[in-house]
Amino acid sequence: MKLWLRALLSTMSAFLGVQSNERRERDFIDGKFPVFVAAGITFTLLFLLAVYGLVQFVLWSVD
Amino acid sequence: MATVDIDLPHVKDDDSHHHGPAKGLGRWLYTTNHKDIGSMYLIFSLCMFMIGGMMALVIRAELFQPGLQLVEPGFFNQMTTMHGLIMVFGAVMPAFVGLANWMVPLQIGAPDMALPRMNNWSFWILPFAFLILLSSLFMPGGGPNFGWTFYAPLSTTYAPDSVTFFIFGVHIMGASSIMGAINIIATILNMRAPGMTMMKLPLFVWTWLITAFLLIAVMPVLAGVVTMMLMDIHFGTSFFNAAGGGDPVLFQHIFWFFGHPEVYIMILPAFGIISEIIPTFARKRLFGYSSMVYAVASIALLSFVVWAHHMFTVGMPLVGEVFFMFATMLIAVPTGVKVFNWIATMFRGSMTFETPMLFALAFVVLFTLGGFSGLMLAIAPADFQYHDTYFVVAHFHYVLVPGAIFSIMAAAYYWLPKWTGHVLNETMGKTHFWLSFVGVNLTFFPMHFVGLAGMPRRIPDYALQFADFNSMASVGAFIFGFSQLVFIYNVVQNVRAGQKATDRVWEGAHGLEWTVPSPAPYHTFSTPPKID
Amino acid sequence: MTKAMVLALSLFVLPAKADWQVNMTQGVTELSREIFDLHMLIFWICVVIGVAVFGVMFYSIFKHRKSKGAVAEHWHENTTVEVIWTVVPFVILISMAVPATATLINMYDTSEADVDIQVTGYQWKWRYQYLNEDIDFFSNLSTPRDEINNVQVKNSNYLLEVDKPLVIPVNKKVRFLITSNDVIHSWWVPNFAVKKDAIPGFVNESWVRVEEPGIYRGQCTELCGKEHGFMPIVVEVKAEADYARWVADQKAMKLISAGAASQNYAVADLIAKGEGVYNAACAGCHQVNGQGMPGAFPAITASAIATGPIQKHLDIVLNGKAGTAMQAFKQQLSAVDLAAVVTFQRNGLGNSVGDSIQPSAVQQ
Repeated sequence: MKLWLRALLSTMSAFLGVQSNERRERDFIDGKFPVFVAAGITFTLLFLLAVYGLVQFVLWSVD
Repeated sequence: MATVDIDLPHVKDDDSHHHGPAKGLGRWLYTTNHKDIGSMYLIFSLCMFMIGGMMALVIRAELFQPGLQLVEPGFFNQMTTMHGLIMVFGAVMPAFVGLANWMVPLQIGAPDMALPRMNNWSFWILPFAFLILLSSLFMPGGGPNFGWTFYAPLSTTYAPDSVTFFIFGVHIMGASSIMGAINIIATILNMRAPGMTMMKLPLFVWTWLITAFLLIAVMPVLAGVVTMMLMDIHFGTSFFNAAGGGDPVLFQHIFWFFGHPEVYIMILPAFGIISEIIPTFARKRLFGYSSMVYAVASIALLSFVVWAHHMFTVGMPLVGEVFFMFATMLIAVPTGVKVFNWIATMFRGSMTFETPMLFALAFVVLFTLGGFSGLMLAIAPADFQYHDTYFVVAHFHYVLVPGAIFSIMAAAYYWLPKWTGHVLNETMGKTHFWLSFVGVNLTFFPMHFVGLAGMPRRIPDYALQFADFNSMASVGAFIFGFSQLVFIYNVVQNVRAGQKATDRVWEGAHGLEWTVPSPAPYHTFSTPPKID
Repeated sequence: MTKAMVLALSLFVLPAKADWQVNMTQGVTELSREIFDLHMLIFWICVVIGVAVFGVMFYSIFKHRKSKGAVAEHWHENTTVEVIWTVVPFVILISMAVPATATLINMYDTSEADVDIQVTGYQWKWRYQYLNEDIDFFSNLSTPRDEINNVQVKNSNYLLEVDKPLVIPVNKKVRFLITSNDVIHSWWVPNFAVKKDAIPGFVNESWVRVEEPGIYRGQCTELCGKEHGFMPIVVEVKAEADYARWVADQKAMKLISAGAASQNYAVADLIAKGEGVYNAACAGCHQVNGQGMPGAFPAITASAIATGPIQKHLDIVLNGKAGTAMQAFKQQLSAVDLAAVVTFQRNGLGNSVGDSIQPSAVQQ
């Protein structure tokens, strides 16, 4: 569970484009590659949904 | 750059018992050596760069003045199409694969690529792909004339017969790219020297690893779309034919689903190269290595969800329009701020300005300009005024020429002494740089102006108010084009003779590749180096 | 005149109208000005970011160079700084998205139009159909081939002039329904900030409310084949009364041309008229001399069709040939023009079949 949480946090900071060395080393030492891939894809989908939701909200609020 | 701050006990080459390169033509035909194949990729891409460049000069010569002077419009369209295809698939991509072939094994301490025979095959099918493509120019009806984006139905129902050869050529290039990508991934994941953990990988290796995944993901999409075209043309399907119930816009969606990640395929390895060169000549470690790696990975994923910003004028529903505008603006940020990392690397460094550094600095400045115009293009309502004008031409040439091409030039100058064993002729290198720099800006900067003033792209003749800037651009193009002869002469001279280069070559260079002798022997790291 | 002389001559006559416009046109509609403002806003944002970024860069290039004795420092990470310089552009861009979205929503509101015009792209001309009036015409490039080929001095509207412009009323909401007959085109008038792709099988919508009468010019902006650079758009915006008069004129002219079609013409007149029609409608592909382009466009001279039975010849001109660039000209040309061009093709361009066809026969 904790591993998941950390992978998700790392993915989030990756999407911002910022990560510290310390965290990276932790990720690469005890992180699992598939977990990161899954987190990356999940986050991309979340990003899609978030932007889509935002667009719907904006268009709805204009009407 | 990773923490590979190695001053290895010099890797003494006990490779003398190995066989050297074979003699004659056979060496090149049958070689499985990553250095030979890397050289062939680079030479091939240089040839393609010159051919594609000559086509660009035909275009610029015709556009020097209003009116039709040199070529007729049908041939002009073939030139714009072939120029784009050759530069993208023949010059930029093979150059990056060539650099990967040479440098990835050297940078991770591997003796060769993981799949050497496939490596040979993925190179040797390329020249045939381009021979097929180029031969279509001489066929009745001429070669591809529908732009490098080959929108249907211009490229299907209304295409010249030679389009089938074009499709075949694209398939072969795609196969070559996919094999190259598989090879690079296999090498990076399996062949690293002991101690070369993933988090010590040089950024060039990191960016290439991610690029290779992108390639594997999108080249099949390209293959799919050209196959659908083939079916439409020869087998009576109607994927893109509205009269048969198909959808011409579907073509654009599929094409750009490939095309947008393709843009990143052409720029991420450049990010890697620049992230190697700037720390070397600033004598300071790359600022925010971790951020770079993470950002590049997420940029690669996000590059799949912004494709329709190339299609703001096709009449998407409002929701789609707003969605792709937001998504594009959001991913521009993590991409753009990487420039800040390079500048922070230079800040309080100890800089010198050898030729590779000059190209790298020009990359940072001019790529950023291309990024700015990209930001402007992301604003969907404003894009209605920019779309398909010379403003777009200026934008993508700023990211591709002083972006991708300059990074390749920088890489060539940076690693050439390691390849040939000779110190570069700096005077000639700097001459090449300044001529290219002036030429590129003279060519592409005025294109912003004519584009905003209303000149559409891909036209062989134009209204009179665009005349002045167009002749300026043509002069610049010839300066840029001919300055490449200085580069070729310099490289040839460097291969033949020159002062012996040291192993480290550049004072500030770090990384495994600088621990092997210059020139790098035919076989390196047969015994893996040890990295702490 | 030799080609070299023409080239040399064009060097002198060229800069007649060359100017140095470097920015987007502000245009003549509320939307086009909104877009111009958006463009300038994002431009200045880029300038500010650029000045800051390049300022720091050039400062360190001049200050932190080895030749000035600079010694490299060792820091190479600062997550806080990175987060700041990421979040700041983020916020700027989000603030940018607000006005952009508002403009976009406005652009997509095509409801309650006063005039509806269907715009259809053809290789390489535009067709305008006024949906509520019985008006339907094609708009072709009218720049003479001699100007394009540098034989004649170029006029100031070179490549931006048509034989019959689109006419719309001022201060009315005009809705365009944009589609295509063959490949994808794109209809763009910079002064209106309207650019929409014309796609076969689709109808895209766009609208404009022009505030000043005048003549506005644009071009096709999607590569659509050989003559892509030669299908301009000219829009004449007229005051309401003038527009009403123009509509009435169009209807009157329709009656006149119907009358013209029932007359009989001398063969020589048909050939003379046909040459003009040929140069405007056919020469783009089949070339002025009728030789075509081998592999792409067949020759007319000595072709089986132009020297064979006249009905078959007429049929191909009227209905086109499916799967090729040969269009159906039934809608594009009047009966008189069709008769003239067929007669010309059979008795000109090196052919001498000797027969002719009358407009009345074409109409059947």
